[in-house]
Amino acid sequence: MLENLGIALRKQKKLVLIFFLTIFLPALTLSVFGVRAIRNERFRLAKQEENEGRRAARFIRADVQSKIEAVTSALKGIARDPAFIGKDHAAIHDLAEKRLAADPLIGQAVLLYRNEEALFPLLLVPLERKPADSSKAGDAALAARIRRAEALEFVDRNFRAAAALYLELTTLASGRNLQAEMLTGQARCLQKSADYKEAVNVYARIASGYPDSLTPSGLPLGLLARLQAVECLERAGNSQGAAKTALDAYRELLKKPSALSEDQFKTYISLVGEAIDAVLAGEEGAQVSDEFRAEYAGLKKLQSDRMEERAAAGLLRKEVIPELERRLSQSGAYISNPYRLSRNVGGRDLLLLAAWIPDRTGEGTAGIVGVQINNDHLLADVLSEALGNVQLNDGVEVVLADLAGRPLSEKISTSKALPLVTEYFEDNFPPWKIELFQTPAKGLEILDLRRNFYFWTILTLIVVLAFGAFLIARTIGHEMEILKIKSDFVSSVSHEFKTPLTSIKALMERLVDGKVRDPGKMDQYFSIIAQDTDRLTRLVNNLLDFSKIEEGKKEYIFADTDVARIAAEQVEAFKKDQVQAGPEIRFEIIGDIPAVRADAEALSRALANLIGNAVKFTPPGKAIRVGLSSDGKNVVLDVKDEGIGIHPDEVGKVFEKFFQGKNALDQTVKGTGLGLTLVKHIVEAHGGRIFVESRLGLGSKFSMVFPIKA
Amino acid sequence: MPKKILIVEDEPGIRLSISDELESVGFRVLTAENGEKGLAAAGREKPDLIILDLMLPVLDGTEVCKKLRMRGDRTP
Repeated sequence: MLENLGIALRKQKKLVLIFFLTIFLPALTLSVFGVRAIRNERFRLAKQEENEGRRAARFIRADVQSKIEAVTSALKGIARDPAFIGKDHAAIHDLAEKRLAADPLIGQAVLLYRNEEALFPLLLVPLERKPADSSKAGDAALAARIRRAEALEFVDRNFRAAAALYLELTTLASGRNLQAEMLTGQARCLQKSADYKEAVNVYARIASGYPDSLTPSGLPLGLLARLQAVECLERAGNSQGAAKTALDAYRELLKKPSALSEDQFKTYISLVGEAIDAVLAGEEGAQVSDEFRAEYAGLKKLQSDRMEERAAAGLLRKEVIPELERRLSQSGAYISNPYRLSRNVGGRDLLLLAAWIPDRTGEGTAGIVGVQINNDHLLADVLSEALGNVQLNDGVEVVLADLAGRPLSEKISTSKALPLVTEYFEDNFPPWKIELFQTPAKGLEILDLRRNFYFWTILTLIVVLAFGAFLIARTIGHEMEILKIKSDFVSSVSHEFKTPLTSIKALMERLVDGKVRDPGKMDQYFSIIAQDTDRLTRLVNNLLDFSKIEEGKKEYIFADTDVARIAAEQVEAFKKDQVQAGPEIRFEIIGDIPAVRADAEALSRALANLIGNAVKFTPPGKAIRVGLSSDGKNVVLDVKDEGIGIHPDEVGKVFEKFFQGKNALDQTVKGTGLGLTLVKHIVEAHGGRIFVESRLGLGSKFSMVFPIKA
Repeated sequence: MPKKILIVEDEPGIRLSISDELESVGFRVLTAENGEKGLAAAGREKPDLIILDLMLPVLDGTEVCKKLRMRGDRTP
């Protein structure tokens, strides 16, 4: 029996294994492969997007670099221009204006000759300087007359005479500078003599005739003349004229290139500005034409541009020039290749392209000409143009960042994700990187969704399958158990039938053959036959009752029944049947037992079953006690034995049909497994209850409690 | 001296009929109603033959046989 149980268990295990192999494993494998396939697909897509992104980034880089390259080659071209070699500043300015200033990518240009001050050909160039003593060195007689005029002006303070002499000297002076100087002297003396009108005229002549001339201290004469004219006009009360002249001076001041130093520029700017503002604020301001105001506003804007340019030049002077000077001092033979230089100043990158200027022999290096890249233009226009040329996938964002990762473009990436692609510029010039962000990656997102969907679907499926399989396995296990119980039942029932039949047959044969002659022996034979017949009858009755119960056809005939009499009868019947030594059966009645409405036959059958069980499981020499008592409400009939007992785990199951306790099975005492089921049914049909108490090895007690019907 | 036969059988009817039958043909028959008693009787009486039922209370036939053989008893 135990082995059978083991086989049943193993069979279930096999079932579980089969399920595992046929359903669970393939499902798991399938899901793993599915998820992996999607992951591969995702990886492939990501790779593809990365490749596309990289191509785009490289395209952008190439676009930007080609622009820078164009500037570089232009620079390389002009560095060898004779104007640069010959230090012809006017020509240099023209050249720079034409070749460099036209390119919006170029911010400021810087020019540096060996052992000379740095110049900014687009903004600041030195005008031709007059030798300090040119007037004196030229003609001694002329010089004497100049001194005479100066004496008249400064010592005698005879301004009119001095003015006349200056005018005369103007016609005699040879150089343009000297002429301008003489004219200035005349105008100055006229101004001092309060002849403002004439002074203004002379100043105008200077301004228009000698725009490029400088004072001995290097100041532009034209500009100074205009400023003086403004003062004269103011003195003369001609505010309109003063404003107009001031505007001319303003225009002159903002012209490029300028020779004015930073301080001079600022001083003059404020002088001119004050003069114009004074007019505009004064009584006559209302009469000022709209054109005037418009031009003034335009010039003011130009002024701020100039200021910026000067600031940029100042920055270059401070940050880059020392480096250029160092390079220049170290340079030997002429190198035609330009070089690149970048400096980070206050978070802003200063990008400079520089080309060497050959000396007159063409073998050495005379200087450097450099251009600063206009970062704003590079970032805004060039980059957006490059972006326009590139086809980007949806959700791809291009961010240009410096090497530290700070974004340079205004569009600041909100995503903290790693860039899809990062590309650096060649030679780190500009020292930036192009980063492509994929926010959010649409294709990947869909793929992720799909993967998650697959994953959860498969997982759910597996869980459902596992649960279903578990249920099926359990049901099959249960079925198998029932089948086994049924076959056990059939074999035990047939054994139960066969044993008394064999016994009866053997005894009867001997009796019939006349082999038994001794009357005592014959009695013994008949007694055993009777006993076996009783057993068979009980068995058949049990089976019949059971099948009736199963079919729901069992009927009870209730009548007032004397339980004590029935119990006594049953005990006696068992005692009588006991041929040889068996357990002792005692019957005890405690108190008066009222009549119970019961089916007498069923009641005695139930009791017979209990006593039969007790006898079966109680060894000889031990006792069985059948007790009957009443508490006024119920009649309690109990059968207590000192047999093998019931295992605690099985106590609850003893009333189940076909159930036979393990302990009972070990005894090789066979039964149908129906007895207690029948007893329970009978008791419950009487409205009673049945209880069992048992201790393994010590015995069991079954109590039937019947209510006393009023 | 008649041969001694031990019958170990729990069913009284079968036990009785076999023992009577064998006695009537001249054997000395001993009986035991369970395996334990059968084992004890086999040791005590040294029967010439043991007729052993397999399904017995307390000790079943197979067990009895095993124990007998383990004791070195070669009784058929």
